[in-house]
Amino acid sequence: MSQHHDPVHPDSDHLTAEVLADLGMGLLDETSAAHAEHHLTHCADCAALRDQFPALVDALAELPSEQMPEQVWQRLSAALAAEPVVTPEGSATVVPLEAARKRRWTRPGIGLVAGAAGVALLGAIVVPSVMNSGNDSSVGTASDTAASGRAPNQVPMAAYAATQSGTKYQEAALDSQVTQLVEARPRVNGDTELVTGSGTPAATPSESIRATTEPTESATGQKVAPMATDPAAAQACLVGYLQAPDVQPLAIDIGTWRGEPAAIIVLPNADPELADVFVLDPTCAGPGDPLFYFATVSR
Amino acid sequence: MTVEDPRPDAELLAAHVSGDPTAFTSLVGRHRDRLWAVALRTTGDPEDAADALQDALLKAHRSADSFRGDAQVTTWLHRIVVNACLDRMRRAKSRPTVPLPEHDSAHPIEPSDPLGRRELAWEIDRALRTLPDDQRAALVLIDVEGYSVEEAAQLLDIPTGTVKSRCARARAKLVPLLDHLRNPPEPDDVPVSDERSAHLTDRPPGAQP
Repeated sequence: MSQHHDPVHPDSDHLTAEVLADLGMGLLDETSAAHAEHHLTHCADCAALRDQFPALVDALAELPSEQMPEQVWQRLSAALAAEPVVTPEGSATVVPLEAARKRRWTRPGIGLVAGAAGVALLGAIVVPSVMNSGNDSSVGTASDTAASGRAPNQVPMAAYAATQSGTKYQEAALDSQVTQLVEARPRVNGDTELVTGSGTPAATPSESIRATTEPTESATGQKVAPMATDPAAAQACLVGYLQAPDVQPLAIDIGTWRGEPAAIIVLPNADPELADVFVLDPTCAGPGDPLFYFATVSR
Repeated sequence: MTVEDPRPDAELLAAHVSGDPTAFTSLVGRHRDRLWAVALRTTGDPEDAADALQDALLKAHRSADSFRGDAQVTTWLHRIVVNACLDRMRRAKSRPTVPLPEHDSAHPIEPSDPLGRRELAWEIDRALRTLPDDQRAALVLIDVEGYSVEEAAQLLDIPTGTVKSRCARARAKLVPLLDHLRNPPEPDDVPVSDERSAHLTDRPPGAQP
């Protein structure tokens, strides 16, 4: 590759790689191109250099194809899964799962119920009034259910009111579904207040969830199949997942997410206008992270 | 993504726009290796490539309804990916280019096998990273990915003449390198030497010890 630079006088100087590249791309004006071509007819060095260009192009075209590393794909699909389904309105503000997972560990105040000994336990008290509004007799409370319930594991647990609406939660509708869920609670009044305290012989989740395993009509009107979740597993899963500090959830509901049973846990956000919504595998039975989805929605 | 969704690209994108929650991931999963290759070679760095791809795919996910169907879905996706790569590189411009580690003795260029494909690919990838971003992007699209000048211009949103000249600049920088790789014992400023020495030495005569 000569250092000379004068395509106008190709006879006196070698052609540069730049000129040859331009020639190959058809970028030289007619005169320069003619001079370059003329030079190439009798300069073996420059002709040899020119011949390197097709070789380069071939080598570039033959570069081995790259396979996306699995961990990159996992990351990208998680980011995509955390995106709301496209809707004209676009309702939920979404935090990527990764950020949500980080937040779960770093943000103080996330957690369900903290027992006095620092053990957080969840007793799922089903409040069927979400799906059977008007049927007051079906309203359960922590103490009601506790009175009739057995506590096979004998662990004194704090209880938290949860519903099992069977609602089909969806990204696109999450905003309104969560609003509906949170607003549904005051309607069942003081009975659904959080009952805490390690001394409370709260209902076992098995009792309370078993009580409502018949098909129910969700707040959105869909019939759902009975939950096949093991409540004890659900409890262990959710407690383990959300860890301990004692912010009270705005609502907990068992419904479905993309056709799978899911626990929807709504926690207050630092911004009172917003709420953090965790959608979890209620049993942690899957091989991966039990967090299906996380979004921050408006309240 | 274990099961291939049989629907064609355009159908998957349309399904995504109408609310199918898995269609977009299926679409991207199908093209993931090619998108990765473009991102990796355009940015020259796996971390940057992954970040740029994430930026791009989230953008594409959100703006899928702006796809007009006058281009191929893959072209549209590549366009978003390439632009995300260029954006990311522009933003990171203050950061100096990190050169790849020098070719060490564990990976000698085999003079007896100057066209060894792995070595050549390794060296070309390395050389690609020394190019200015804009030139590299043009070259990757045209010479590596096989897009036409017109398609590359459309992807990069620049005139065809600009694409050509960027690609030409990039080729001009790479050709001497390739020449050197193919003929390692013959530095270009030395007249063609006798073949004997060229094949008996394991490094270029001019190379430092």
